[in-house]
This record gives sequence, C-alpha cells and structure tokens, in this order.
Amino acid sequence: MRPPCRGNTSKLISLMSGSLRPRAADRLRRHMQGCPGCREAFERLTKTQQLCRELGEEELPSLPWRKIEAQVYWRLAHTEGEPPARPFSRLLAFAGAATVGALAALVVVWVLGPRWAVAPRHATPVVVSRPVPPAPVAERELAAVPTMIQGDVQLIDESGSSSALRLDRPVTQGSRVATAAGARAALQWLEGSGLLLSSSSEVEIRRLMSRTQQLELERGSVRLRLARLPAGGRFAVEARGVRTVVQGTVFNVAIAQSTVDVEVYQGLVRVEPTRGGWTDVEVPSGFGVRVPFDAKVAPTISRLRGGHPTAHVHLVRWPDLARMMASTGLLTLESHPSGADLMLDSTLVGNTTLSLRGDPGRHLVELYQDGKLLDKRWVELEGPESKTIRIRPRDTMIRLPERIHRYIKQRAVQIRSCYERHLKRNPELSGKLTFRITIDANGEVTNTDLLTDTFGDSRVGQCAQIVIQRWAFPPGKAVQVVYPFIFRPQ
Amino acid sequence: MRQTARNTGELVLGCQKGERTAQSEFYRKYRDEVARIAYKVLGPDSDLEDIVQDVFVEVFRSIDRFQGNAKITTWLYRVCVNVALQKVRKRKRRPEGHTVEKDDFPTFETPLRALERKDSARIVYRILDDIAPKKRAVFILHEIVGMSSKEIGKVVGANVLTVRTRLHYARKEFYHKVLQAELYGERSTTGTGAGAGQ
Repeated sequence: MRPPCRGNTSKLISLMSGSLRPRAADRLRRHMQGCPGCREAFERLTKTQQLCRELGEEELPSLPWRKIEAQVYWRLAHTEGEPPARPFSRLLAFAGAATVGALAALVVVWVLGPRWAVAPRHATPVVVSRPVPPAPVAERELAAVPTMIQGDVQLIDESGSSSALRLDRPVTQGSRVATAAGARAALQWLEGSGLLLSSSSEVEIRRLMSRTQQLELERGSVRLRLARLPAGGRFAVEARGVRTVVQGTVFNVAIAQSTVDVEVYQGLVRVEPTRGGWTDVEVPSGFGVRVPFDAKVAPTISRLRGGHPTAHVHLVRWPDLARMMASTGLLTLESHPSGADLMLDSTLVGNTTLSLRGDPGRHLVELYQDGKLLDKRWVELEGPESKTIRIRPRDTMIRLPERIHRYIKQRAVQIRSCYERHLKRNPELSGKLTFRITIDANGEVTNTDLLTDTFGDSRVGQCAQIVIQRWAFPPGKAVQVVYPFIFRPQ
Repeated sequence: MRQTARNTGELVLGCQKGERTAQSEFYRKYRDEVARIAYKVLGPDSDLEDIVQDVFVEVFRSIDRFQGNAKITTWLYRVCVNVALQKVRKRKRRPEGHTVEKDDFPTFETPLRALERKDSARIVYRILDDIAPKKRAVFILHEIVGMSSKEIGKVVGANVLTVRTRLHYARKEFYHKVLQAELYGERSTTGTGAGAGQ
C-alpha cells in the first residue's frame, strides 16, 4: 500500500465523515485524482466504514436464553445485597490518593513535629493499639434451591399466588412450599443443609439468612439435615407452638393429629415452647419427643424405635448446583399420542434419571431442553406406579471443556474442506453434522458416532468422521462431547 | 398457562417489586436487544452469554433507581454499555490473548463470505481495543449500531457536544490505526483459505 501524502490522513478522514468544509473537500478531491496514495487510502477508509456498517447488520449468534435466565435468578438470589465489585481503576485511584495523603501527613509531622512535642517526658504511656473485636459477619440472604420434585408441588409466594415449583427457580424467604398427596420435594440452601418435605405437607420459609434460618411447618412432616452453623448462628423450626432449635444435625419434625413429633437422627436438638407454658427439653440422637398441642408440662423423651433410621435428604454438592440447576431444570416433556396422561413424576437436579407416571401403555416420550430435543424413546408403562428411565446428561453439550473447543476450532478447517469439496459439485449443498466424540485421558479419539446428518449425501459425513478419528486432543480428563457442524452456502 | 402481556410501565413496576414473573417477562422482551448491543460493543471474541447474564443481574439489582425520566430502552442500553465497558477495561488489564482464544463462534459453520467478514470484524475490534473505552463506546454506537449523537448522549450520560467531540477523536484514532495497520493486508493473510475455497 502506498501511503497518503503527509498531513492528508486527517483531512481524508474528515472528508469521509462529511465534516470537511466544501472548499477544502473540493481541493482534496482534485488532489486525489492525481495522487494514487491518497486515493487508495481514501478507498480503504470508505471500505472500512462500509464494513463497520455491515457489522451492525450481522446476525447474532444463538444463545441459550433459558439457561441464561436461570443463571440470572440464581445470581440474584445468592448475591443480593452484596456491593458491586469496585473497578480496579477506582481502587488504584484510591490507593494513589491515600499514598499522597500519607506522604503529605509525614511531611507535615516532620516539619511541625518538634513544636508539637510538648508532652512531659514521663507521660502516661499511650495505648497505641487495642485489640479490635472481630467485625460481625454480615448476614446474607440465601435462597433454597429445589433439588428434587416429585408429583404436584406448589410454591406460594408472599402475595399468596401459587405456581408449580420448578428446579430452575430458587425459593426465597417468605415463600411457602406445599406438597399434594403422594408428592415430595427437597430443597437445599447451603452445602450440607436442606430439607425433604413429605407428602401432604406445607412449610413456610420464614427466614433464610446465612446465619439464622427459620421455618414454620404448617402441616405434615419435614426432615432436615443441617450443616453446622457459624458461631452465633441459629436454626429453628416452629410447628403448632413447638420450636425446635438446633446447631447442626439431622432430625424430623411432624405434625400428627394432636401432637408435634420431633425425632433426632444425629446431633442434639432443643425443643421449646414458642409462648412459654413448659420448660425446654434437649433431645439427643436416637431419641424423640411427642408434644401435645396444648402441652402444659415438659414432654418426656423416648428412644426411637429401630434405633437410628437412615435419614435421607436429597442434598448435592453445592458448587455444582448452579450449573446443574441450569442444565436439568429446563426439561419439558411431550408424549405421543398427545393427550396421554403422562407426567414427569420426579426430577432430580443434575441426575440422569427421570421418573415417569401416567396411563398404562406404550408412550413415545420426547424430552426437550431449552426447546431442543434432548432424548426420544418409547416407554412402556404397566401400571399406576412410576417408572424410572435414564437420560443422557447434556452437560457436556452445554459446557464444552475449553481445551476441546479450542482444538476443534483450530482444526475445523479440515471438516470444512470436506464440505467445500462436495460444494463444488453441488452449489446448493447444506446441512448439519452432529458427532459424539469419545476422547480418552491421553487425548485419543476412541469412538466417533455420527448422530445427525442432514446433508442427504453421506460422503460429507463420512469424510468428516475420518478426519475426526485422526485427531489427537491435548491430554486431560476423559470426556464425551457432542459437537455440531453446520454448513450453508451463501 | 400464558399470562397477558403487560405494558412496559407495569413491567418495570413489577421488577421493582421483585416479582419473578415480571422479571421473566422483562427478560424475554429485552434479551435480544441487550445481546445485540453487547455484541456490537464487544465484538465477536466476547463471551456474549456471560455479558447478557451480567447485564440482567445488574438491571434487576438497580431497577429501583430507574425513575422513569428516560425511556426504559435508553436506561437498559446505558446499563448494557456500562457492563460491556467494564469488560473492555478488564480485558485491557489482561491482554494476554485471552479473548482471541475464547472464541465461541465456530467459524466453519458459516459460509465463506461470512467467515471472511468475521475475520474482518475481528480486526476491526482488535483496533478498537486500543481506543479508550468511552471513545470506543461512542464510536461503536454511532458507526456500527447507527445511533444519532442525541441518542448516544442519553445512553452514555453525556451532552451532545461531548458525544460529538468523542466521536471526532474516536474516528480520527480508529481510521488512523486502520491505515497504519494496513487493514486489508491483514485481511488478505487471514482470508487466504477462504479465498481459495471460492
């Protein structure tokens, strides 16, 4: 490229933007007729401007909208009240100002110091520093995440409006969760802390903060597993005037016909009246207590029958939950023939099994995730009891390991050449290839399945499959990835 | 069960009360617009999914501060541009080719011409990365998104004269760099494969 004349670049830019005065513009145009360097530069500038405008018309890449939405709610529920991260530049500015201030203060002290030194030589020693009590940790509002929903479970918000509980919608304080007959739900709000609500039960999440949590059982039974709370923390469940206070344990609270029953499987709980009338009772592991609704005297504790029953509460590893919630909480189900009474009886977050219940017979079940078909199969239901089926996890499709993605991207040109070779023969050729690629820990491709081929010409798929089989990924965890390649002629 | 669509005022009010249904409706209504602006400001080498998420988290957290003095879309663009510029600043502090590697757009799935255009887009955004964020925002909103100076002023919270001044300097800087970097020379090297296929 020949450079434009010295000092003309700014004028060329102004000419292109239309901000050059008419006379100067005419002069420059005349100059360009005889100056190839300026002419070429101007052409390039206008081409670039055109390119910028074309960028404005470019189509957006498709995004997983529902997943993003779920993650937004998750973050809102878990970080509400936290101050936004301070930009680094502001911190730097603050640090700079502080340093300047400190230096100025030092100079002032150095200059004026001797004149201030009027204190007697044997003055009372001054306490330079005193032990500072640790600052109280701010309470943070939590949200409970449904980890298992079985049957009809309703979420009732503070205004009283109810909707079906969903795996991708966290439950905040002030809400109530109600299960119908035969339904169950599990919620989790911290690592190791959660509840399992039995059928025909209702619980109100009154307070759900990082240190203090309080539930009220309205009816039915709830089983709780609680991780040890921080110092000063408190967890309480209230039910018909009976408060059960704990520090970290596994226990069950149930409202029976005329009593509140508390059973303790691990740790120690304290059972106390909410409005007085009787003294507190401590219930150790393996014991239970039955408190009548109108109790006037302290109830006596009794050993649980069967010793320590297994108290299962569906808890999952906390750091994985956000991802799992976003990936499994969006499942929808369609069955054929349509109109058949078939429902997702139980959905476990992050799990690969689904429980189905419905009319006996043979159903073609289609599972959609994010509006896309995830799985399709025939399911035979024999009776009213639910049937569990395994589904393929989709996590690998959502979050592809960076090393794999980068590698495929770098070598995508090889796949493209398969397409282009056939495009020369058929200019209308277009389609999609989806491969399931199994990669071992050494990075070797052990298996390649062509899941989708919409070309109508199997040669493109075969060529791509041969190419992929030759790939050697960087070593790492063994994974199975599903990767789509879409080709369209212009 | 489908709810009837609410008007924007009701929707904003619902979001200010923290109603999940209102937030959901608001998200569905404006997500494309947010993604479009974020994509234009940050370019093809950005993690658009994360940006959209950040914008809506910021929107729902700060919607209480929306007084109704401006159009909701203007306010939304402002949040979007601010979040995007924060990303730009962050990226500038970590310039070790991170953004180039994190490419979420499989170049092979588009036709050759689009592929070539995407490479050009990359070069455009690489040049924009060297321009100060405020000037960059004004340049993109004007030259790529196609907004007027008045609209840009509302979005970036500056008067029209300031916007025009920024735009003037941004243009000058950008096109100077374009000529310096011999843009089309770079394009022809990156687009060799594409050209051969055509």
